[in-house]
Amino acid sequence: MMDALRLVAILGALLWLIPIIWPTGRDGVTEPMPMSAALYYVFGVWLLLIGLAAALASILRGPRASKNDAGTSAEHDP
Amino acid sequence: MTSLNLLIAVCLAYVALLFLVAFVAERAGVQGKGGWLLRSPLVYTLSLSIYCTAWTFYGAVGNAARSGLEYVTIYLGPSLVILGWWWILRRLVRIGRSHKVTSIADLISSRFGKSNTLAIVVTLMAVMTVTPYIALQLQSVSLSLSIFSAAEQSGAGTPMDQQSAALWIAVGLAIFTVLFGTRNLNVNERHHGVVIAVAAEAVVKLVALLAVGVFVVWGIAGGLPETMARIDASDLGTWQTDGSRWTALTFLSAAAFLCLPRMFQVMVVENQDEAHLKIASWAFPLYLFLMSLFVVPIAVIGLEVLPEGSNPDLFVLSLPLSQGREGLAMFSFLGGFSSATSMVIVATLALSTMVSNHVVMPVFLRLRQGTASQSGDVREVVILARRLSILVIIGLGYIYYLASGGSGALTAIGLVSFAGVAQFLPAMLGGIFWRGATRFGALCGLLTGFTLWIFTMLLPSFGVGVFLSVEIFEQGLFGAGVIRPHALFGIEGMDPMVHAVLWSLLLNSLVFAVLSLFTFPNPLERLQGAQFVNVFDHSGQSRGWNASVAESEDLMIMAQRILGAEEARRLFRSQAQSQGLVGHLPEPTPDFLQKLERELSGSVGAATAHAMISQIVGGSSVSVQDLMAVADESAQMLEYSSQLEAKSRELSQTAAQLRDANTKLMQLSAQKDAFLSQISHELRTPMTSIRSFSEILRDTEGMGPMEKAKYANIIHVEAIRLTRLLNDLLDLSVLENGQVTLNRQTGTLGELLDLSVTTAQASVSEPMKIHRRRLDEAITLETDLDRLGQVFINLITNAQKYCAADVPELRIAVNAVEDVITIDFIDNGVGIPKDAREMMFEKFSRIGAQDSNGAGLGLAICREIMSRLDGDIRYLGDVEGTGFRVVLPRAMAIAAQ
Repeated sequence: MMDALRLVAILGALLWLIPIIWPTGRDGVTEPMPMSAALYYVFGVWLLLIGLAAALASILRGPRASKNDAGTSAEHDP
Repeated sequence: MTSLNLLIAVCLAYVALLFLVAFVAERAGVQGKGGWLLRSPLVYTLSLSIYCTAWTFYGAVGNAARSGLEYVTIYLGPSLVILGWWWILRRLVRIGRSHKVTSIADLISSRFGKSNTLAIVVTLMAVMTVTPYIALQLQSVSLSLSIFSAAEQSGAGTPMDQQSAALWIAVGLAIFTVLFGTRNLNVNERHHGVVIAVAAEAVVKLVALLAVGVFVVWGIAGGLPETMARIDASDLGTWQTDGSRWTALTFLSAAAFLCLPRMFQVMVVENQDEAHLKIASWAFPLYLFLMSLFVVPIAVIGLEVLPEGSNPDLFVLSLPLSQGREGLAMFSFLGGFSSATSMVIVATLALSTMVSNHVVMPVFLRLRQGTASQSGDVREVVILARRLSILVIIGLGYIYYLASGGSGALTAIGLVSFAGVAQFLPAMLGGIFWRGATRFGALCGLLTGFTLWIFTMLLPSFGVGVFLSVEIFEQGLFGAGVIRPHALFGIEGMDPMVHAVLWSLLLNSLVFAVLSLFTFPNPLERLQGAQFVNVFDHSGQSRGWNASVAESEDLMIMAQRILGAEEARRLFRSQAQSQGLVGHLPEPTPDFLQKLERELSGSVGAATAHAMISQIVGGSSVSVQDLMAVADESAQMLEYSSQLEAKSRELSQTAAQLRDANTKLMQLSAQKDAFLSQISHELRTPMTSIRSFSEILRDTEGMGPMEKAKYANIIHVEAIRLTRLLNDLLDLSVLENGQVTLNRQTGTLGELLDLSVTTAQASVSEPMKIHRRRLDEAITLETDLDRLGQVFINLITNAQKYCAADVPELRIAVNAVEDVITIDFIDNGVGIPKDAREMMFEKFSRIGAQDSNGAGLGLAICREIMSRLDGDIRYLGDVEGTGFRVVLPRAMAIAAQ
């Protein structure tokens, strides 16, 4: 699962790099990418990554969280 | 004006509320209550949102209005960083916690051998890069106030005095930061009040922006599909972003997210629990997502609805205002105000920590060198230094704001600042991932990147002709075409921002890497490097103290001055208890000193804390240099002891040899004793019979002549035997002592053998048959023929005496082999038993009982003679009968042939 966690950022970087190859229409040949599509794509990827990260975080919660909490939360919880 | 006054009133009320929140949180923190809130990952996530400053609150819309979707890159970079927390952030947080790092300058300086030079450089760079950013916040707040005043007065009357507004904001922020930022000294205890206030402000700015967004999309545009349609139909309707800017900005914002001092403060220093990162890994991207969601719609609708020439940076305010929604506008203003204030507070806090720890305190300590424990209350000095730093930093921001005249689009200033702090990235990442990184490399890399940043980004940002003349832009620095601010190395056509980021970071990393490869880290650097890079293997101690002489009282006094009396006493007592001591003063064990140093480093920085402890522990502190010296010494001692070992080995060898020699001597002595007793026995036997018979002759009367003759004959025989024995002994001793002089003669072997056989058989009644091959014996010898003949005679006589065969025969065989001549004497007897063979060449050795009248010296003499003649005599065990072989070196024969 650690590897999946590492890969989320790489996946995000790759997906968010795709816009640099979108047509801008400056060459006069291709139709430029409409802004609404661009918005849907960028924000869609964002939601996807957030979902992935949240899912992985909850999977990871089990063994590690108990180990980490042992030292810190015990001191101050009433 | 009522609205403006109302606005100010609301602002003041809001600030009062923040004060209250911070105060309550601080109180709760001190009393240990409300831990669940202070320690919740939600607060951590929200506090991260100080990344979103007024620049993003206002500037994102302005940016979107100017260049479309490009603004989103500022959020994408941080999202990627925190999504990939497992790579970098987790490591940073672990290092920050285990080394009690107080700032990014502290991190970099700690990693590279607690170098204060590096800390000062990083601190100064951070102040230079963040000051414009603070100015930017002041500017955005005063600008947003001016919108209200302009709307209120609709162009009539004097515009609101922006500068004085900015001044008041600066003063207010300074007070807040001083109050809550320097309340407690120990940075590791964290600023609960500030963090909670920041989290509260994070909620306000998010809700404010979302409210404006919702109002724009559903209130003005009339729904999502309509908004999208209007977006596509507007000037921003297509994808126009330049690929290089998109990539560079994403990277830059990611780098800045890691390197900004304020981000480091909330992300690493204020982090309560590593597990919070896990929640933040998805919650913070969500926050950023929401912050940027409505930016494009607001920009597009703003461009559509508002009159030409409106400042797009303030659409968030002016849109609601133009629609008569003053309440929403005010809320939105509060959102922007929150963004600005939280950023200024945390950034100032982070910077003041750096300035006081790395610039003021080292100077102070140096001025009062050697008196760390006796000097005045260091605690007061630290707090004063920190407060002054806060005032100075906010003051600098204000001055920058005045100097820049509040000009320039918000985005531009923000990016300049980002690119500045991004210069820390190579040193930081190199430091935590690469053990080979060295202080010199980091320093040179930082300076290179920073110089390039100033030249290609900071100075040009003031405009052409302000700091850099038009000539420099066109001709290059000093007329060198390769050094142009926007076209380094003559490469033109790049976007200036991309150009500056690319070159500064590239050369920064290059210089850092190359110099690190070619310089050697000092021991402390290597130690720290290993601990930083392998932080997950041992989140343990930074370095050892050896302080057997350190006075606990002195440490106590010093700790009291820095940590405060109560805190210090508690620490010392708990340490004493854990050591099992009764009193308040623990033993200054290395463990304790290490812990104390860490506690202190939380207040005054790692390098300073180390210096202070070493002042007290004094000579007994073990610096790494000392350790190296110790290591050298022990290496020398090791060397010395190995020399000693070698010598003692030699001695024991000598002793063994001596023992051997001694044993030999003992054997010789025993041999001598045996010889003496043997010889006296040998002498006594004939002497006894001579004496007895002579007594008989003397005392017996009336003895006939026959008898007399008989007895006299016995006496004669015994006397001859005695003489022979004495002759033999004399002979042997002469031979053994090497006093014999060889009488060299020339003759043939055959003649010598003839002579020997004749002599040996002269007195024998029945001579044995002797077989010879005369042909082989035609060898001329040049040697002591008499002595050699003596050997031959002895051997023949022996054969004659002892051969047990019925018809005794002797075969004498001569062989000339290569470089020796062998003469074998082999009879047809039974041979000599195996166990007797070893002894038969020794003196007085007799085989069996048959030899009654020999003294047992014959073979011993033969052996001595042969060794004098450079030859040998040995027993032949592999023939039938008894065989002896005399070996002569051929050299004796050669001369004559």
